[in-house]
Amino acid sequence: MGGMTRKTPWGGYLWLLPMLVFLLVIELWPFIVMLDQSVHYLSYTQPGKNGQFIGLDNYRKAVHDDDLFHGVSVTLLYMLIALPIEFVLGLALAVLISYHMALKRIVMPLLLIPMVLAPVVVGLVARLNLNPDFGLLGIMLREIGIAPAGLLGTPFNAFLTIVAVDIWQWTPFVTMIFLAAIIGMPREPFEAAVVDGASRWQIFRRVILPMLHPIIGVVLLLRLTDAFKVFDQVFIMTGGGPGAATELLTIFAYKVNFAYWNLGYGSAVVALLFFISFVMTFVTMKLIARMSRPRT
Amino acid sequence: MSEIAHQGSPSRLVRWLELVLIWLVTAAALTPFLWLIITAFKHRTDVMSPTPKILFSPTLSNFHEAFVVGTFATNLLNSLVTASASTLLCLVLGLPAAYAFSRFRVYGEKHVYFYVLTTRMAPGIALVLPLYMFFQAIGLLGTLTAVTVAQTTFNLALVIYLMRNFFNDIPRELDEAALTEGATDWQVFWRIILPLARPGIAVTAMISFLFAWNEFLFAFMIGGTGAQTLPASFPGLVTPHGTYWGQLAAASVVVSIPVLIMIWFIQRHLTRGLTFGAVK
Repeated sequence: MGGMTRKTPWGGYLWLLPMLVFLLVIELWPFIVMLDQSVHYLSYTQPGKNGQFIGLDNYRKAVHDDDLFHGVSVTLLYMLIALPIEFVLGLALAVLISYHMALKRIVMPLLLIPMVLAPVVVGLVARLNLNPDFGLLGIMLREIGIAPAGLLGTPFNAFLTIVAVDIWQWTPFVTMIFLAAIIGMPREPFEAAVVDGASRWQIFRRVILPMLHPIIGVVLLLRLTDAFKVFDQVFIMTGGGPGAATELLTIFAYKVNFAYWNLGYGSAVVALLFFISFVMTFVTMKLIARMSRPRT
Repeated sequence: MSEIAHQGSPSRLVRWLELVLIWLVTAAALTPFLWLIITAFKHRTDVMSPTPKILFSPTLSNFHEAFVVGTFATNLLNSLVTASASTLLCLVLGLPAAYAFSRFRVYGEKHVYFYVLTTRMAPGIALVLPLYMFFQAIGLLGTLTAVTVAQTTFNLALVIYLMRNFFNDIPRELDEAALTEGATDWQVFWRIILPLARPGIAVTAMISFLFAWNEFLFAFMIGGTGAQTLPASFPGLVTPHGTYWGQLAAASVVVSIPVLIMIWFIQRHLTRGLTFGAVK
């Protein structure tokens, strides 16, 4: 970059103009309208109060809302269980496949299928397979005495199930990235280690793991943002239930707006969600910028 | 890198066990989905069979129920229209922007670029609520136009990101040469860059199409019943009185066909695209 880049400080905006107009009209403007709505009362339960300016009341309500807090806990717990397992399994699988590179071209596309399927199809696959009466997994689990009424029937099991589905779907993503990183590593350290008679485990600990270090942070943040976004498959699988056992923050925000039609308060909730993901994006970008600088 | 395969030179048995393990994991990852595909071709009684049936007489009745008798054909058409149109819109808006990001230094570029990425990272619900109110206000809720525009919002960022990378791969000397010959920026873009970037455009279009095609929440909320796409029609068949497994499985197979075809083409680019260039 740098020297070769043509300098057209304002002329460049001509090329961005179509996109900018689109963003301004379709994204930024509606977003501002929503922010405006978040400081007003708007709900179908008390139409008389609609439109009344209430300042930051909606935000104050959000901070003290037990249901929102519950949503935050479910989302955090979801990430806390799913991500470490995905990382360990994904890394192990990546290293394993790197020992058998001939397999990569056949196995990787197959492994990626759960990840590229429509999330609603993923939700449906889970529901079908876990059905205690005729699902492949559901019958097996019932036979060995686990969850005879179906995994999605009780709060605890339902929560573990949506986590398990996330692991099933996204472990290959971690594998895909770590494998690409391993393939891209310089060969000299490996050769030196082999000459020194290092075992596989030693090579993994001393060569692969240190070189993966910068990537791990990026993958973690990408998985965090994705896990934070999860909605579709859980919506299809449980709709947030039973009770509110699987009511992730996103599902809570959906319900406030589109089930209870509490649009003023809902706007505040969504604004908070947006703020969180904004911070996450910022950190991710900083991290990626920092790690790609010395490499290129 | 294949040399890594021989590091520590494990015994034949270990290598053989590793192969078995890799295939077992692959099988475990695929079996649940295969079960759904099989279900799509089963008679109603076989679907509900309390002992899993691997052998059964296949039937197309579910597809007939879903797409000929039911409304899935309309939904399929809606999906095709919105996914194609939004991909086209993404390219029209995104290609010039990606070119500018790749070739020019623009004031505030970083801020614009960051904003573009934010739309990719934010949860769907955070983007869909403002859009819902917007389309409600202008009376477009429940139209194909609204769904198309809505799906463009979350794909535009990725299109710009991916295309900027593909443009960066094209040597700048080509631009410079043409410019000294007296070509305008527009001519360079239209006559030189776009034709050279054709494979990249194809991959980008496929990824954009897939995301729009698979997308649920935007289509579900913005499309309503008037412009229901295939994924958005799924909740309607999961009713309190029971789930229409056969039809849903048949629809799932149809939804998954383009995904399964395209994965072979876009696989190589997914790593780079989904990690925003952190891994090449």
